[in-house]
Amino acid sequence: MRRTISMIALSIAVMFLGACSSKPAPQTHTILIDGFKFQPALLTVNVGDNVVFTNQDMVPHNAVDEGKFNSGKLEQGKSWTYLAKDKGTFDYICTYHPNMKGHIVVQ
Amino acid sequence: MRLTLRSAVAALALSLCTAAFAQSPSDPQIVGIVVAANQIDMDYAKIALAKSKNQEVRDFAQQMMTDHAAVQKSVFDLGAKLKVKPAPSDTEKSLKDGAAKERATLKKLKGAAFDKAYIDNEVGYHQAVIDAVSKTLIPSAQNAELKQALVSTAPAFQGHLEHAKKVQSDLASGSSSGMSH
Repeated sequence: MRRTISMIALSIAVMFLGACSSKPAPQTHTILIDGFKFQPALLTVNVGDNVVFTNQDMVPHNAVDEGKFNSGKLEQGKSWTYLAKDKGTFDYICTYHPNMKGHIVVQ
Repeated sequence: MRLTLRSAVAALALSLCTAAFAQSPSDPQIVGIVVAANQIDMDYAKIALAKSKNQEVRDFAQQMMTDHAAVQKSVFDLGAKLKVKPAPSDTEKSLKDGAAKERATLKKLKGAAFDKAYIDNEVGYHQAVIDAVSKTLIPSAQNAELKQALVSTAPAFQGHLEHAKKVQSDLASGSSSGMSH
C-alpha cells in the first residue's frame, strides 16, 4: 500500500513539474472602460497574453501609453486588443479624459 | 470680476438645487433639464473654441463638445424610445437664464482671463449638475430605464469635473500647455 501511495505521489509530482516547465498558453484578459474608469485599473499579465479593451461608455475613449501603444478612438461598444509582447509596466491614460488612468504589468 | 463669476456659479448651483427641490420634476421635465444642461455646456464650449488660444483649454472644450453631443444623442434616443418629449420646467428655465448671463460675461473676456473664467465656470457648472442629477433627477425619475440612464450618465459629468479641475490647477500653476495671447 505504502509503495502504491508513493508511486501516485511521484506521478503527481512529475506531472506538476512537467506542467510548470512548459510555457503557459497565452490568455485573453478584458479591461472594461465603464463609467469613465478602466476596470480593472491594474492588470498583471504574462508575455504573449492579449488584453482586450472594450468601451461601454456612451462617449468615445482611448487607451494610450505614449510611444508604446495606442488604441485609437474607441466609440461605444468598440474593442481593441493589445498584445503584451514586452515585459514591463505600462502606464496608460485616456487622452480625451486625462484623469482616466490604468496600469498593465507584463511579467 | 472673480467675485461676479463665483457669484454666478453659486447662483447657478442654488437655482439648480432649489428649483429642483421645490417640486419633483416629471419624467418629461427631467429629459428637458438634461437636454438643456447638455446644450448649455456645448454652447460654453463653442465660445471657448472661438476665443481661447490655450491648447489645454481648447482640448477640454473640444472634449465637452464631443461628449455632450454623445450624451445628448443618447437622451434623444431614449426619449424617442420611451415616447417622452422634453418638457419645460422652472429648473430648465433657471438653467437657461443663468447660462445666458454667463455667456454674456464670457464673451466680454479674452486671453488668460477668459481661460480662467471658462474653466472656473466649468468646475462650478459640472458640480451643480452632478448635485442636481444625484439629489433630484435620479430620485424623481419614475421610469426605470430613464432612472438607469441618469445613473449611467453621472460618471460622465464626474469625469468632466475632474478633468476641469485638472485644467484649472494647470492654469493656476502656469503649467498649462500653450499660452493665450
